[in-house]
Amino acid sequence: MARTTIEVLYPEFGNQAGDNGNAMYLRACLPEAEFIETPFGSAPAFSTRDDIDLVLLCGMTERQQERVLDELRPLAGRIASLADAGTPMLFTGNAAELLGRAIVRPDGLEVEALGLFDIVTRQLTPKRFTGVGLGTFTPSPGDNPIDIVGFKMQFTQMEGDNSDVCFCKLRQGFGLNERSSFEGLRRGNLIATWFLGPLLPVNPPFTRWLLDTMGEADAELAYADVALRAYRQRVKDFATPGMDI
Amino acid sequence: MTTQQQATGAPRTPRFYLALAAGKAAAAVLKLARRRGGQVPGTVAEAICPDFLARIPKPERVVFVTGTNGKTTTSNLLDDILIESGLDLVTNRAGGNIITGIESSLIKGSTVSGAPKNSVACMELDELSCRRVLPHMTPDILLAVNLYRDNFTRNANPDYIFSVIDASVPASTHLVLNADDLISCRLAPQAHRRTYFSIDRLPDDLEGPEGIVCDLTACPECGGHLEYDWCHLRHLGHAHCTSCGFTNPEPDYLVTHVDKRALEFTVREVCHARDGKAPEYTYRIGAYSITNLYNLVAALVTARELGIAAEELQRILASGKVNVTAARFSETSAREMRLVNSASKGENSTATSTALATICGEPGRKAVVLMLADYYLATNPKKTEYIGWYYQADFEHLAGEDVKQVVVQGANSDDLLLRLLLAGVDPARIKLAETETDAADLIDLEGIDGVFCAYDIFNGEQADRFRDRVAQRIEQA
Repeated sequence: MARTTIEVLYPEFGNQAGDNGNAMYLRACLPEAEFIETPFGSAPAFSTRDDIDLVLLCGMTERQQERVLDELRPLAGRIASLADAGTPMLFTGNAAELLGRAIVRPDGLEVEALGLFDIVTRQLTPKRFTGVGLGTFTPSPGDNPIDIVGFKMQFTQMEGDNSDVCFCKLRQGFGLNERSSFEGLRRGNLIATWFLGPLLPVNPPFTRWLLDTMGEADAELAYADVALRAYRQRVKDFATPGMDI
Repeated sequence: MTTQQQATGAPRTPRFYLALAAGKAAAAVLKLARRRGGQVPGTVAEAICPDFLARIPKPERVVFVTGTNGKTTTSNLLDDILIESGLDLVTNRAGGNIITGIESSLIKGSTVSGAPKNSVACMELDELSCRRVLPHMTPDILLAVNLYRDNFTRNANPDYIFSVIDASVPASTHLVLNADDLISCRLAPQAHRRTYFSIDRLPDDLEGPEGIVCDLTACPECGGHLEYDWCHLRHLGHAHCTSCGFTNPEPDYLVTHVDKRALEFTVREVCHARDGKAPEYTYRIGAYSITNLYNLVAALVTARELGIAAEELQRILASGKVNVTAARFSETSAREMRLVNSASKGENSTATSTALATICGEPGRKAVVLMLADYYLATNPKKTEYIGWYYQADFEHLAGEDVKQVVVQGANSDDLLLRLLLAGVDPARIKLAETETDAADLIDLEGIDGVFCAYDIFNGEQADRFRDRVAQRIEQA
């Protein structure tokens, strides 16, 4: 059996807000896996290889976001075809914004994004949108839904309709924008979410689904008892009406 | 805004005088009640006169100290140095570093007509507050000590904080900048008068930035590959871009030599060179650490740029009346057991990592207690603390052999426990405690030389109670 391969895109950028915790937890869950850390300026492995089991890109600063867009724009078609082929990909924090049609800066300048989803991001800096979220992710129709908990801290609001392509439906917190209860984006096994920080250690059941989807059904969740205890408490806490950061 | 305009401020209106009187009354009530309430007078004044800061006359000279880590220590040091030099100073030490804290300090430092009692203001300025303060209070000198990632909830990322300060600095302001910080040294190019300080390569430097995350991973100019030559602390050091050649600015003041044993360091004043020879001055440092050295050098250079003679500064530091101390690191003992409390700003991974590195760098076998969850926030059932920063702090230090026990106390203990396990800390050495008393009782006093408590600055009372309880146990044993 081929060794599981995970590509962490631009880890030197994608570590804002503790998003680096995602790769850290995956390493603990998959000690035998190969982790390819692609630095900014290098060609991503997924651009030429078909055997990448997960592509991971996490939150970064707004300046880095534009640089990353310049790098990935020529690969937009490749990302779309990998998503349509079922390759697991995870974009967290403001990395999700790369997948829309455009990012509009506070000064009105529009930056072309990758165009996998028909959404537009508006940077409303210095206004900051913060909160917690609790919702459900349904892997496939008929599957048991998985509770997802997360934190949000962003300068942006998105325009568009993600109700058919959302990552999860929220019962607490805001989604694509403050009027939306649909969080994130999904295309096949490509998941994008504005929930930032250590999404995977904070959501062990979702990590379980991700590992299964990557073909690692036998892999054990690292420190499952501790992670699940913290998760269950958070699901309970985040259900409190008015819960906030 | 000219100095004259600043001194006189925008026109004073009846509303301004009412706000000033109310602010002064609030300050008097607080003093009578022996309450600190540092921001209350400013808050009261702003409620009556929203542009109060624009209207209150300022001292003739204004110095601000900003940056992520060390600005309080540096600002306090600079205050002490300037007072000892005979300057007539108003500070915001008791006020606070946001706009209402600065207004409070100006209210207390003014006469009933609003005229400043002091000729110089030297104040700490919160980075985000630059946006609200600098349009109304033009500093003659702005010292930016450094920029790091900070509390993400409030400050987002270093790029954002950079952009806020960058856009707020008036062109007429003289900037004092850390040449070793390739982030903050680029601030505000519109301000042409710039003084840089730096610490030359030291024997115990690192080859690259320390920590599991780094705030400067690519060239800030072109995004190209940044090659580090050496680092003193986190990303502070010397580096160059392999694409565009961007590198550290040449320092005007350079620390050329450090004698840790003699507690001395030498500064070469490159900017005062004559006939190719730059004068050098050796100063005393009260307690050595690279952080303390940066703080002290930043304060000294600012004092020099304010016109204080180097010989005078040497005298002040040598006297021992003013110097850097091991700030936020408090040590007592009980029957030869070291009991050390070390504070760091909550949700600030850089400060916490530095505190953990300091603790774990101390000699001897130790028990470490983590009191990092904000105690007061945890009492609010509708508030939760963002735990993402745990994944940016270097808990890996605690996996060292000398750390015999780790006790995690407070809310979010399971989140921190998971992070410790991911950091490689032996699960058999970790215990969880609900309260500070439980934490103190869980410490196994056998086989250790010291008990170290790393706590959020808001948990100071809990940390003190913890230490008292440990000391009590030791004395009773």
